[in-house]
Amino acid sequence: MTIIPLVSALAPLAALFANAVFHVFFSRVGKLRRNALPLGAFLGLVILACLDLGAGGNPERILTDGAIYVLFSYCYYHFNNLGETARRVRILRELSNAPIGLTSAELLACYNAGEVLDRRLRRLEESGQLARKGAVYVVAGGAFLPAIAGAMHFLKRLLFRRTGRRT
Amino acid sequence: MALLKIFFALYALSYVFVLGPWVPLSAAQVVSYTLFYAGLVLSYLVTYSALEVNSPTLEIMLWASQRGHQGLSMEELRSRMTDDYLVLERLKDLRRDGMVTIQENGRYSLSKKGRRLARLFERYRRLLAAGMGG
Repeated sequence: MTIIPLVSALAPLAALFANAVFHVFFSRVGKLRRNALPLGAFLGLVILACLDLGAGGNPERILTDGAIYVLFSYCYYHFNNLGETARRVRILRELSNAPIGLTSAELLACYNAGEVLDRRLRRLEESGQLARKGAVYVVAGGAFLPAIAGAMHFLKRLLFRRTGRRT
Repeated sequence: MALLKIFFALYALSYVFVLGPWVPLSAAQVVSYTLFYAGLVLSYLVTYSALEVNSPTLEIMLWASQRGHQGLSMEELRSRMTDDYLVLERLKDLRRDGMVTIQENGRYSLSKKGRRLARLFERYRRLLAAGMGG
């Protein structure tokens, strides 16, 4: 047994690390900030291809490593999304900034439904998914995101017999 | 945690009783198999946790698409998306998961576990030069 195949088997982890490094780098570059995540994922894939081809990888190895990389990148995407949108993480951070803790009223003064809603509406408008027409919001970005929302709704009903176990 | 234990047991069983005797694996293949299995498990866990709670973004899109050209008014959104629904329920989740404790004076504070998670995200967001999120 040589060490090279063993090191080569770890290539997806090296590519994932590269993905995260590129993501952090582009997040700090003004113009590319919005696309930092897909750019990081793409460059991580390029690194993986270089590592596999450099180690004389056969098609099975490339396919396996590619699948592992996609799975871990999907998890990284969710981890990043948690920091960006998760309400629980935001509550933890608000409590972390309060040395003597917060009452629920104090917490709501820092973070409340108005902010949750405004942030999401702004993101949806900026990404072109939603548009404001007079006093109402209408779907503007095609059927993709509503289809995802519908699929999630269906899966929740299937798994939990209602539209979500928790709010 | 219980799910992780089940997945780890399944991994051990699949390796010892299914793969092991029939398919002689090299060390590199064992690493690949382990990473692939871990990737599948983690992907399942993150997808499951995304399904467990309602995403306000997807709810807005679902409601707006159901309304069609009529659209969704701000008043309706605000009446559906209340502090109780969006924030306080998540605070209850955090208490249930042992991330947050409530003191005798009614103030919420972080447990050790909650503080570790808060620090992890604080550092990560600082690395990205990003704001508070949420």
